Amino acid sequence: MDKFLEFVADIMEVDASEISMDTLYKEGKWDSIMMLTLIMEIEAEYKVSIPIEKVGNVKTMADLYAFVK
Amino acid sequence: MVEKKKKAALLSNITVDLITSRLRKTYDFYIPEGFDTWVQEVINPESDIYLQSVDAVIVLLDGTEARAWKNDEQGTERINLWKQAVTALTNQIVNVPIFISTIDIRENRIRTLSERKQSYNLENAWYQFVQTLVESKGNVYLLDLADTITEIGRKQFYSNKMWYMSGMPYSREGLTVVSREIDRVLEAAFKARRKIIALDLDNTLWGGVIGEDGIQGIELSDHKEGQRYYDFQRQILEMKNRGIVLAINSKNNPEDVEEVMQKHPAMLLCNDDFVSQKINWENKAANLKAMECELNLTESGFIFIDDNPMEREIVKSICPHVLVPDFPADITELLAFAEEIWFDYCRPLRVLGEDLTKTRMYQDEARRKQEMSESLNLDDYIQKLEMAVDIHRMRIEELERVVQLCNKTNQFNVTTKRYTQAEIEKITANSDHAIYVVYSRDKYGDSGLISVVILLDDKENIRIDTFLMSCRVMGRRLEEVILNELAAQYSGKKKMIGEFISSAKNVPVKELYDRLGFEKVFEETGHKIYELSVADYQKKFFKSYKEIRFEA
Repeated sequence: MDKFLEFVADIMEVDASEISMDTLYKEGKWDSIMMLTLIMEIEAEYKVSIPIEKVGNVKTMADLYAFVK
Repeated sequence: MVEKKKKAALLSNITVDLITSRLRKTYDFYIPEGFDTWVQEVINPESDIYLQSVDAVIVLLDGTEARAWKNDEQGTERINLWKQAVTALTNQIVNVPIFISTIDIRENRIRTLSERKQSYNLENAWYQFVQTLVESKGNVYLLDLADTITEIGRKQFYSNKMWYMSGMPYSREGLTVVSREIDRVLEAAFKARRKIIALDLDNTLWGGVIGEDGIQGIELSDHKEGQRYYDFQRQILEMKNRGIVLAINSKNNPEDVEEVMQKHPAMLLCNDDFVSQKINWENKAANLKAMECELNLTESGFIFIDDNPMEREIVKSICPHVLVPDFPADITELLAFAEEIWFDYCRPLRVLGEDLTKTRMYQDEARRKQEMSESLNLDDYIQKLEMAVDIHRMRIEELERVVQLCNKTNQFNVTTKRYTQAEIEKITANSDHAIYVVYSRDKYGDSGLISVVILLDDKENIRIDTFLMSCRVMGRRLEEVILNELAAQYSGKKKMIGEFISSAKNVPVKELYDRLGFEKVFEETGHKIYELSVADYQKKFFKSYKEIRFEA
């Protein structure tokens, strides 16, 4: 979980301490462009395919993390 | 001093935020509001793109739209609309570089090849259209998106998921290569390019060590393993043929190297390809420093290629501005390695005829330096050089070179006014004004078009708007010769007015007009105005010059 947050923080170019599983979509640097970037990077890093119909339901970082678990 | 970030307008028929977000650290971007609004934006002469000041414009077009074309007619219509838009854009923006992408039409692969003919035709029609613009406009360049896509492959480049999700059809890898290509062309537009590649020999231009393995033992051939080095040499030659100059910086016995150059059947590079050869047992950094002096180049013009990491480290630490790329561990990568160097650091926006003869010019220069060191004084030196000068009004075929010189000459440039092709054309349209160009040659070679003087007529006086000269020919009293001819030509006027506007680099001409006998009539920080009375000017005679031709 920590590794995931570090990975995301790296992409968002923020300190890992600034985000958590409760971080909300549209908060801080996490805008719609960042969402696309995160999806691409997570898919590449974790070798998963995130279904697009589920992307709309992502509200928090925990929702994103659910795709890689 | 931190330079202000350059601003580029990015016009596209797809969402480009994911591209610009990758480049924001280096550039600012202007993106029109809304999705696929670029055509409206450029067709309306009052749009934001024409109101803002941008340093470059990029038109990035995605052929994925082809999927929406219901039939051939719609496709043709769309391409025609794009042509109109780009025509409007290039008519209105003439003074900053415009990069227009080629297109890749990703066809429905279920359709048969003959059904897909239209797509190939449209891709080609678009390429032809842009290429015509590139050739006719001084500020239009191709951004070869189709080639970028071919290199990486469509399957890698595109992502259907991204398209459905965001109106942006590129994959993560696609975004990377497109961003890199945009970055590269903007760098080529805004940053100085590297001019010279200094090459090691053993295990760099051939496999093995010539001093130990001998000419039979080194790895170099036009097939199999030895071809890795042969192909690398070929790439280096291709760069040389596009204006990069080459040098050797190697620890070896010169006679061993000479034998390879003369006798090895697969040795592509030969003595004539190099402007300087340092084949000795000296420190390689010292060799590079010596080349800088010899060729009148600065460190930041150099690339040093050597397979030996220790040699690279030494050069990096002593010559921090020399670019020292890591040498590929896998020699099969040499070909791609050369390509990367070209695209990242060398490729100019455009290759002109003048660029092709650079190697010869540097070689001539080295011989002149030798002559100079043996001369008694400047006039003696000029006489020995057998200098010939040709001064005449700019001809239309010289326009592009004049624009190039106006925009790149920094040292000998009294006003450093930058001009676009359209602006130069405007000056020549007024028959009272005049643009003179100067060619020089000597017994060692032809230096080509090396000086530009722009004269503006204000009835009573003649004003020198621009006086610039290539630094290759500085220090041969050429400026005196040129001014002498022009002053005589304009002796019907009252005065000739000269101006000096100081820049970061034009210190060499700070006192130019003082030296030429002008009188200073105005001075404030960084700005001086001079006058020379030319009414009944008495022409001087330069006996050290072999030939001076002037044509009004």
